[in-house]
Amino acid sequence: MAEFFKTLLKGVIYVVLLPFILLVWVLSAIYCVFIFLYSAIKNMIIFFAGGNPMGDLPEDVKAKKILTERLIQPQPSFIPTAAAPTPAVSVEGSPAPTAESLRPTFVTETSDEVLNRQEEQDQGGDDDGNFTQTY
Amino acid sequence: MVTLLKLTENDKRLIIVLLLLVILVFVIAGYIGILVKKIMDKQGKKMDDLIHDVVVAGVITDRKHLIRFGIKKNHRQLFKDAWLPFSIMAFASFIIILYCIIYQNWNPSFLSDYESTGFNTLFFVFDWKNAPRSTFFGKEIISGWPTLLSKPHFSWKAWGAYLFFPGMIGGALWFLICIQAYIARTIRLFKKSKEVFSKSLENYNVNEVSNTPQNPIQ
Repeated sequence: MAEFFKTLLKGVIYVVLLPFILLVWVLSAIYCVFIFLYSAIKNMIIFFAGGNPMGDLPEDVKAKKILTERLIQPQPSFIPTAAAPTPAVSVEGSPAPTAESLRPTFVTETSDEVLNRQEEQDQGGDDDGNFTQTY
Repeated sequence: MVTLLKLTENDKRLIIVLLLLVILVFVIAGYIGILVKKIMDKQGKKMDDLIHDVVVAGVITDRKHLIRFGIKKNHRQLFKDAWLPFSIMAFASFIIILYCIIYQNWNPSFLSDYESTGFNTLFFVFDWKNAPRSTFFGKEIISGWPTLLSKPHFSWKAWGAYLFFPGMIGGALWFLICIQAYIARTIRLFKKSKEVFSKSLENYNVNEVSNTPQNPIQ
């Protein structure tokens, strides 16, 4: 019931505001026609001058550049270092694994390094055919 | 007790019916308004698409610049949206000019001729001017069906009107939708330009922040 009255109230408001809404619409229509004609003439001039009328604006170009750079920026890759091998059975006198040895380390690689590493891993070795364990 | 107005049972029924009709009109207007608002919200989302990258990349850092940029993008979007309906209307205008040249008839009354050259050859045409009328509360109103002047029929001579009217009406309606989308995007732009760069101190207390123990940097 409350919803019904809300809709009814909205209806009353819309009916009261209808002339103003229509006025805004008509003024916008006139403005849009002018904008369209202006854009059409401008685009035609740009087109015949050899440009791209629908090309990116300077802000778009900058944004694209920044976003692309962000994508290829070096990402910190999570590569756990080989922890000291701990015996399965505790042997008396052997050193207990330290927190330092168990902590994973973050190695920062540049994008080129990541690509080279991936290539090496794909090929299964380096150029000489020797397989090298990098990490 | 003085009775100013005596209502008969029929009057009461009439008033109730009228009241219900008024309520119905307002409710329908309300639903139409809600529908238009929903459509405009959907159309306005296009503005997010247009200004997202420059805001996220940090190219634009103030409200005025964002509004200027958004307006430029909005004009471009309007052109992209409206070139097709405009072309349709231009084509329809070209057709009617061609028709006038071919038939050497520059009198626009041929467009309303229901016998051979007008678009209303496709509709029922009634003689509303000479319709039967009766006096009701001092006013003359139509009280019966007028005589039928023309039945729907296809006329080859009306090819100009057949192409002109649908083209103009379709193009104009399509253009009105483009205008609605333009208004929706403008509203969204101004709304978002306020929100994106707004700074809020809601739930921020400088004393709470200074008392909070900071985690030592590992």
